Amino acid sequence: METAARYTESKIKTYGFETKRNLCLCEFSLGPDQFMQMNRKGANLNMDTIPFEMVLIEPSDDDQYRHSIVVSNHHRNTIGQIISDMNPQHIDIDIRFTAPVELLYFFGPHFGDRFGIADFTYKALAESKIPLIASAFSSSSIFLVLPEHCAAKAKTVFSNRFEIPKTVQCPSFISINSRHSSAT
Amino acid sequence: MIGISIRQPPPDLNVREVLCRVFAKNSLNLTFISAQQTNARDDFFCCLMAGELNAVRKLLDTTMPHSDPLYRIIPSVSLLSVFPHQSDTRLVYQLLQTLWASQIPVHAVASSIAALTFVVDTNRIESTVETLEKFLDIQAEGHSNPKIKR
Repeated sequence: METAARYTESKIKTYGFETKRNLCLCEFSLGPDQFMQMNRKGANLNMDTIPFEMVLIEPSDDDQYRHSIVVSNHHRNTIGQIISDMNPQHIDIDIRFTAPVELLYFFGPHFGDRFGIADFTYKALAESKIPLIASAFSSSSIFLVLPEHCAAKAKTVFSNRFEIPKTVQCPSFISINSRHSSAT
Repeated sequence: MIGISIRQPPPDLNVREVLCRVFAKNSLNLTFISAQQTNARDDFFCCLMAGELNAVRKLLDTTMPHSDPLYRIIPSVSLLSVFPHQSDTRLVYQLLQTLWASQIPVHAVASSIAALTFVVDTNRIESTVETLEKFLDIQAEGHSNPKIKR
């Protein structure tokens, strides 16, 4: 017998929002066969010189996978060069760059466990007319790729709609210990 | 879980927002989403609990009433997370290459703060783990950083 639990809260809790600016979204389509051909040359080893901020990979059409990698904008030329260098047989790869873009990401205690968070997030962006380029919801976190100047705006919108626990200035157990200390 | 893949729906359909609204109204929890929207393409992939298959199929048909279904349902998928990814682009592509070399279909990959999550067929989940374990040097405790075996 399967038991399903549903958790609801009046205001969705999160642990705060992080933003990153001056990033580059690199998109290209590549199938497993093409990739394996390229990789036999070992050229993708150069990839470790570029740390990613976000990765999305999905199958698209015709046995291709659509790759979206967000990296710091100063890696833009390097990642383009690496992908080109991975291409020993000059397979036609259309690499598309969108820059600068920004990243807004956050996570919460119940993300992934309760329904409605994606709708809440997308609705907030749409109502504020903030365009969205890409999004990933996984492992209790939400990553949003936004056009330039939009991450701060989105952060303000979300800060008013999500609940962010206030920093505990003086936990109760410290107060109790202090009282004990002073009593003795 | 079931996976739902939607490729290039009509732009005016606004499939991402519409579907998430419909799923929320029907109390359906989405455990994974990857969505990409550009002028050229609008792709959406999500995972829901498998028990909701019939309800989901009805909702999809109601939301996207086209003669050729715009969606594809993958009947049984699981999420496999490798963490911490340490923002290592090479790790992403080495893992993907390993899975592809073992003929393991990957339906989607998305990074989060620390984890890299792969959506794979549930009936291949054990072989996926075995494949990655051969490739990654994971300590017995399972808490160390995954390192590529040399």
